[in-house]
Amino acid sequence: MMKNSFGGYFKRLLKANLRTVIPIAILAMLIFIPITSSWQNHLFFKYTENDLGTIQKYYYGSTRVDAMPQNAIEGFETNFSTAVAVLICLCWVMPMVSFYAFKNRRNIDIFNSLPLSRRKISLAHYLSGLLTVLIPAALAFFAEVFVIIGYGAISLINLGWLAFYFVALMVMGWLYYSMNVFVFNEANHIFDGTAFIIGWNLVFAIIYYFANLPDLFEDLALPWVYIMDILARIEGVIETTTYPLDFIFKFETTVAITLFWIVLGLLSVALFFWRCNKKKSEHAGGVSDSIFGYRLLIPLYIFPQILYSHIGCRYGDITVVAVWFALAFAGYSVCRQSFKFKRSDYWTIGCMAFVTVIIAITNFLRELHH
Amino acid sequence: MIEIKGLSHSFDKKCVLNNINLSVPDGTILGVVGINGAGKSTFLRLLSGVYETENTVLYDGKSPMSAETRKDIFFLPDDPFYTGAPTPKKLFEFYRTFYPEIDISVFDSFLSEYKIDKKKSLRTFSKGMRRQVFIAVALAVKPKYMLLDETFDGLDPLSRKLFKDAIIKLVEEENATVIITSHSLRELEDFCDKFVLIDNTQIKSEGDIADHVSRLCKFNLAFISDISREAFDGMPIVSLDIKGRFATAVFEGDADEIRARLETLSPAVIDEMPLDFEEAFIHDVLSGRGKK
Repeated sequence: MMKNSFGGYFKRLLKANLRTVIPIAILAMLIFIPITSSWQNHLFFKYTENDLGTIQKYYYGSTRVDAMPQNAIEGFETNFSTAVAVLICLCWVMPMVSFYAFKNRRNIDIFNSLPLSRRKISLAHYLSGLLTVLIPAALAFFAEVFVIIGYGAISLINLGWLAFYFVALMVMGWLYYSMNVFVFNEANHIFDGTAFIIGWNLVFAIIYYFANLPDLFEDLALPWVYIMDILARIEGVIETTTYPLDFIFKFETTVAITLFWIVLGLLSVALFFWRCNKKKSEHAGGVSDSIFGYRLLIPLYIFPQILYSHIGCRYGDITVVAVWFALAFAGYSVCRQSFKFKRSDYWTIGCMAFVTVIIAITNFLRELHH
Repeated sequence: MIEIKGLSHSFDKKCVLNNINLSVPDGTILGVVGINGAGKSTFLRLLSGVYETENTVLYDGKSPMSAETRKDIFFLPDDPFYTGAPTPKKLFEFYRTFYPEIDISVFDSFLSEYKIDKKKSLRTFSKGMRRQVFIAVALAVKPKYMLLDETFDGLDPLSRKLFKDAIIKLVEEENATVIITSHSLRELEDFCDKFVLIDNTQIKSEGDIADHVSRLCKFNLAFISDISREAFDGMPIVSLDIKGRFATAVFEGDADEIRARLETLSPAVIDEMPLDFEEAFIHDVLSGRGKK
């Protein structure tokens, strides 16, 4: 009975999701395909590599050319960017579509009194949302495969890497969707959940830019840009049967950063399922007090800005720092929905102030010394 | 049988229910009463498994936190709505996923009685109409335990009668147990076997409604000259309202004995008035606050 309830509920959710999303995905594809086609035009090309390893690419147009320069390798420029764009957009939207019902107290009354465990209800929503992300992306992927076949270019494609691309597309979609599901579900209100998704997707970029981190961290700045980048690199390998790999991959950083995102994604899956059973029904629709929400996002957004103000230096500005601290208080009052702060808020702001003072003194002494 | 032992609940630091102990035998219709904010809805949410309990609520020895137990329970909240089911037809299908034995003929017959279109959007319905749809679902599920929160609220008199008749039939035919909260005490008086009064986080009184009402008696009295409150000293007064020569008093105890004692005050007129459950409730709540 339980198993049937889960299966029935899952199917019901999936059907409802797909019924909404598939037409939107088709519409999106109709919009995306002409746009992305202007980036990559389904061109046949040939490349040669000189002794120094420099690649020389020659484009021939949308029909195959028999004449080949000596030692040239033939390829076909593919265009999977529609699949990637559909995947990324759905990874932003589907966590909200799949879990917004949990942010409403009236829905929670219904959900939590049903004869199905909370974890299974969450699992049904998670899986139906995930499939709604992956199915349109997979459809867009196979649409491109059919386009390649239509051009008669399948023999030029590296089929092993094509299969790997598909697996990478699905795995990245799964992990990125899970990250957004986790942060959305840390909120008790749909507005907060949306803010958490936006906040966490941009936070690394804020830290990277304002904390002036080395270029190495650029790939960590925006997760969706990294997904687009890594998939574009794999796509480069697909386009011929013998593309030199080291031209495509910067192995020294790619593996480490990919592993970082994979660990973060897997951690999100684990944390989501661990915490979905611990959420209190009475908090639905109320203030979002999770450590993975405003409590962490506010210092992560504010502190790099303070660092950026060159506090203590001659060209630093104490007024700017004061404004950022005022904004931190404003942020906490928005998230608490009152001017009554919690002790943890004072501690966070206190710690930021303490570190700011230390940095200011250090900068001042350094300036004095020079 | 529902057994509640030491049930407590707090919202952050605010205690809403404290050490509630109660047994509800099978086949009982129990009315839960209390003033606004007394914790009636919280009580039902705890009973239904919406809010977490740790073995303080047991249905035939099993916790409602187990999904297996909840297949015998149907909870109808005070403002029922589910965003995932936009029409009554979809709502029925949604519940059929979880309660496969739900009876479509019962659902359809109630909707036709209530004159509700199955294919219309629930969003366009009034609160009372949405409640009627959910009532139809609840009755079609035929659960062993039905928990109803303010279900009379927003229902017209005909719908209320229909609903009450259906509940009585369910209890008689299926030996179901129904727990219902309501502010409409006159409605509860009609068909509840027992009641529980929750006040100030605890069960203030409980038992059979008729017995509870019959332990109180109400008299209107008229005297030749002004009467003072002290004249009633020593009597088992629940409430007393004096206006010059006239007094209205509610007493606890046997009406004949009270009448005999009142006659010693030589009233010009003494009339025993009927007392209903609502008045008994008001006296219970007020006496708990030390107001007589």
